[in-house]
Amino acid sequence: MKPPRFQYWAPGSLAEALEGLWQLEDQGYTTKLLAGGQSLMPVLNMRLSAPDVIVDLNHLAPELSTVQEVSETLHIGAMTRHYQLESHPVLGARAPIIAEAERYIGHVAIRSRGTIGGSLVHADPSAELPLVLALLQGTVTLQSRESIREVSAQDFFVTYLTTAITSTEILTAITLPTLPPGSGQSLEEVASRPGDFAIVAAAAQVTLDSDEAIHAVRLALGGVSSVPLDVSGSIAFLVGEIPTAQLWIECTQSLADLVEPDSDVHADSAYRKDLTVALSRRALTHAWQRARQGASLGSIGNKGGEG
Amino acid sequence: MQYVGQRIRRQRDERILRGQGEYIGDIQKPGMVHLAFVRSPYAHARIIDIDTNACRRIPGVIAVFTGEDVTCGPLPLLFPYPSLEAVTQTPLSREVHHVGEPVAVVVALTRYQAEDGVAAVQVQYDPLAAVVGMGQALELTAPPVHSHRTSNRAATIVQCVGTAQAVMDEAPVVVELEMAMGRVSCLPMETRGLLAQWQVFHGQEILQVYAATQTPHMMQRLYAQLFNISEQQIRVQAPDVGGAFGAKEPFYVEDFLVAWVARQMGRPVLWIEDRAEHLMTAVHERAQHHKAAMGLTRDGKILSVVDQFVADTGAYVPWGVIVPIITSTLIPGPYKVPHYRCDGTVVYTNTTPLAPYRGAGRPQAALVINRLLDKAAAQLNLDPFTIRRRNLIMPEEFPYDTGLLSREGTPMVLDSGNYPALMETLEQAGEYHGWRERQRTTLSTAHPIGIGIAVGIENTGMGPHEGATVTIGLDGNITVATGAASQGQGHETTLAQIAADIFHVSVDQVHIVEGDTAAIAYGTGTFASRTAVVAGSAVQLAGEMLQQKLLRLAGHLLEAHPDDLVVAGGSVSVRGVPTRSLTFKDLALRASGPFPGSTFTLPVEPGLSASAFFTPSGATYAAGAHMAVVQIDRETGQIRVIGYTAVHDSGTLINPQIVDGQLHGGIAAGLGTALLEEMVFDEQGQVVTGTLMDYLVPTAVDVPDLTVCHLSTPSPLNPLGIKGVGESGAIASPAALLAAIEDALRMTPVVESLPVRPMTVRHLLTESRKGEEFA
Ligand SMILES: Cc1cc2nc3c(=O)[nH]c(=O)nc-3n(C[C@H](O)[C@H](O)[C@H](O)COP(=O)(O)OP(=O)(O)OC[C@H]3O[C@@H](n4cnc5c(N)ncnc54)[C@H](O)[C@@H]3O)c2cc1C
Repeated sequence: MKPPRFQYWAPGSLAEALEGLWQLEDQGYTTKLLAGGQSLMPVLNMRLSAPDVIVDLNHLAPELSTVQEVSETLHIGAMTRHYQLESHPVLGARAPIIAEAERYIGHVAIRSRGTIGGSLVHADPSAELPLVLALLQGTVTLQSRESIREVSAQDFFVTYLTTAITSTEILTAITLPTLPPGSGQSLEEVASRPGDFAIVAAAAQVTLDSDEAIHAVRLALGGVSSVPLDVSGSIAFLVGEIPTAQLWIECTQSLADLVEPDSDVHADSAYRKDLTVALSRRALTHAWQRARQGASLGSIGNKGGEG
Repeated sequence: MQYVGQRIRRQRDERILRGQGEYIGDIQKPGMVHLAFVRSPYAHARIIDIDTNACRRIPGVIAVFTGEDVTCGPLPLLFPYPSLEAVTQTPLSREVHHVGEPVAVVVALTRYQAEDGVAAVQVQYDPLAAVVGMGQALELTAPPVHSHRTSNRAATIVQCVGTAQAVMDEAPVVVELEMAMGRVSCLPMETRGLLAQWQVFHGQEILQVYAATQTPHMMQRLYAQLFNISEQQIRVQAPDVGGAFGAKEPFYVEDFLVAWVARQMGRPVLWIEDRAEHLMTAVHERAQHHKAAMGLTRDGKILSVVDQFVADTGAYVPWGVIVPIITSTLIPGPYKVPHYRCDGTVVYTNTTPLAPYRGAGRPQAALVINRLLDKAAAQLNLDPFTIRRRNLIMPEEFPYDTGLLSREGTPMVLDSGNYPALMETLEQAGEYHGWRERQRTTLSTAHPIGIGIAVGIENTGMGPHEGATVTIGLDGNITVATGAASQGQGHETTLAQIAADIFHVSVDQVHIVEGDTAAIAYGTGTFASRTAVVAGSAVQLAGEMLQQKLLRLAGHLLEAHPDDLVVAGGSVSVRGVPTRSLTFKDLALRASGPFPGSTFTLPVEPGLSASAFFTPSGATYAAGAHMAVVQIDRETGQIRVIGYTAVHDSGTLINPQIVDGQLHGGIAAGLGTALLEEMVFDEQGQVVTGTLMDYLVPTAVDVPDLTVCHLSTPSPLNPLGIKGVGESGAIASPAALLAAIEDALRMTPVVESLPVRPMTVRHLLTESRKGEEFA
């Protein structure tokens, strides 16, 4: 469990890193970017990957870990670490599902190193942050020496542990919409042990209009497919309905037939289907309750979450 | 103050917690090189060719060895048994019998380079059919696990008391049980590891081995046999060892190979097992499949128990077939079973070998008998406490002859115990009736509560022997050397408490030396919950001998009768005349002899030291009654343990805090066995749960708050009345947890396999719902 030989390079700035990546590619070297190392180091130690050069992004952290709110969008630097996401006041108010998701991610030591960029590029189909990106229809910024592109969650996640990023690009930022007024969010999951990757996770956002009818509803699932799965389309018919607890029970029953999860050592397909139904209902119900709570707080800018 | 019985802090913890422990991985020797193993990717294969040329060209690689270089035959069998047809592992054998078996050895300057070398060795295999499941192994058409054998049967075990089947046939009430118990890994925090070096001293070869082991003296003996040298030429030392739980008890081919390579290389060789190797190759346990029946009277008295089981031993028998033997003798456990029959078949499979893991066959036994009783209780509409009380062995029935024979063929007699008192305390301390009250309102909800109880016993403190040498040094302090070896059990504290009481000194003045074959000539080791009993008794015996010697010497020097002397505060003085006194320091100096060339005139042998061995006449039986309370989420199947109480009787407690800790750890292990842990192989014999992402060991977050209570029924079999405890927590816990889950679900079918995961619960619920629909 020791990595094969590699060269190590720690650029001091984003510009330097992008230039270096371009040149390394040119000279035929394979590279891997190192952020928090919480997924990459095990991969290297198990010799599942053998890059020529490890490019350490940690000196870029000051540049790439800012969180900004600009007219109803949030820009999160890729090197923002889990513990920073967990406790960030702006995120807590504007995208409360992030802090909720963080509670399920690993343990304190992992959250003090691991980053949002690393989580997204690692693209584990049951990881929480990719699920949040899919739920909120966020985008990622992929930058190389020659280009900058914005890629939607749907286009970014290709399959298990695979994304649309190329070897000369760095994921620099994540863009998410802020919580719309009258909305609530929730993430529910079942993992084998606290801190493990989810067996199934469900994330929901419910937006109510002034008469408490559904204005918009979104639902995404982790652990049931090779990528985080946005299934909002299957419940779009709820728009306009006045929700009840019963409504959420009814609308989630059919989700079991919508997903075709794989079986693995942790859970078989049938169990994942069971969880899909149960967790979707719980996430939608909580999101709805929070949306109502937020509305009853009377403010236009919904604070969301339970505080 | 008397130390035995006190909750004093463990002496070693501060050092370990400050990172000052010294483990194998911390030891450096000049010229040391690193070893890594090329391991078989096949569960069963013949090796056609090994090409090491590319490996030899890797920078840093200095040697490669294959089966052609090693001429060692199969390892000696460690625990023979009459019906056992033993196959033990051969170092770098040309036929591999499980995934992970070593086929070549690479030596390099660093572990990194050694692994580069491993990746470059090209082995050509001729894959053979592999046998993976226990059921498959016994099929007539099954391929052989070992090509040279026709049958996959390793041993048969029969226990018989009375006429069990005949009585069963006539019994008014009969319940049946099927139970498949999953395979688990021992999984200590520190993996295995070994540092070996050969040196020449006075013209004689000396092998020095540092090993993360539970059994240094056994290693020494085996090295002597395998290298055909005297054990006097071998020193095995166990530095700080970070847990073992059975994994560091057997002698592995790796143990031989590291020492063998060190001899070839003429330099120190280090091997540290990594986690992947550990999960794949260090011994596993549990893995039994039972079919059992119990016949009872209508008022719930056991008439007869019949059990048939198959036990997996993997590819080899690294510790004989002791685990299934223990299971077969302990199924009756704390209960009176007048007619009993057990037929066990032990099979080879092309998987990692099995040997004792904390509990060693006893959790399996406790599951069989307790689950049978729960079934009977359900059928007879009896409370689980009531049915147990009707069947427990009573305090006045000890010593209780079970009618069974122990592993050595002698009558198996339970020495002492008070099982009804265990139940009484459990009912109170576990707030059984309060939980039953709380349960009532939850049963028809989405989150039902269930309560389960189980009682288990453990034969502890087994032989053959352990010795102790107790010495008062020139500094007046006491050093105790024993053959036991600590992996974190706290012997440095508990054994010191025993010695401190004999000499009336502070426990800080006693230093325990363990895990070093140079410290004492013979020893057995730490496993089977034996050290407190056997080494503890040896410390007592040797301490008393030294006390006699001390008094004789002081009496002579103080011109007083030994009976008129008092020992206190590190001095011996004449009763009532405190000024006529000699310190331990003075006495040690005098006993070491006057100046060279003078005459030794003292009435004792030189040196303030005494040695004694304790050779137990038989096992002493500890007992525990456990109660688990779980709450289930019907929708997700998740199982939350919301209450846990264990009442334990280990006889005299040397240090209740350490006993608490042993129970906590044991219960955590039992919880793992019941709810989380399982080593899974696929049909080809590949390890599916090869990382700690897939092999689920309970973490601190998974273990609930535990209430632990102690009773003390001293054993008559040793001077201090001690019974072992190291494994006890793991024994009754799986049965209690399963019972609680079943109690919450209140349905058939019942749980028939371990571990019970949320998914299992969901499937049971789905099945039972189907049952209702069709009914
Ligand atoms: C015991 C344990 C439990 C865990 N449990 C969970 C869990 O429950 N849920 C969960 O979601 N995660 C879990 N994780 C993973 C953790 O969240 C990691 O932080 C995350 O997956 C990777 O982030 P990182 O910063 O450590 O990335 P790294 O490990 O450094 O990198 C991961 C991958 O992303 C690439 N990469 C990193 N940053 C960038 C970038 N800016 N641009 C382009 N590529 C980049 C790397 O090259 C690499 O391929 C767990 C990890 C451990 C060790």
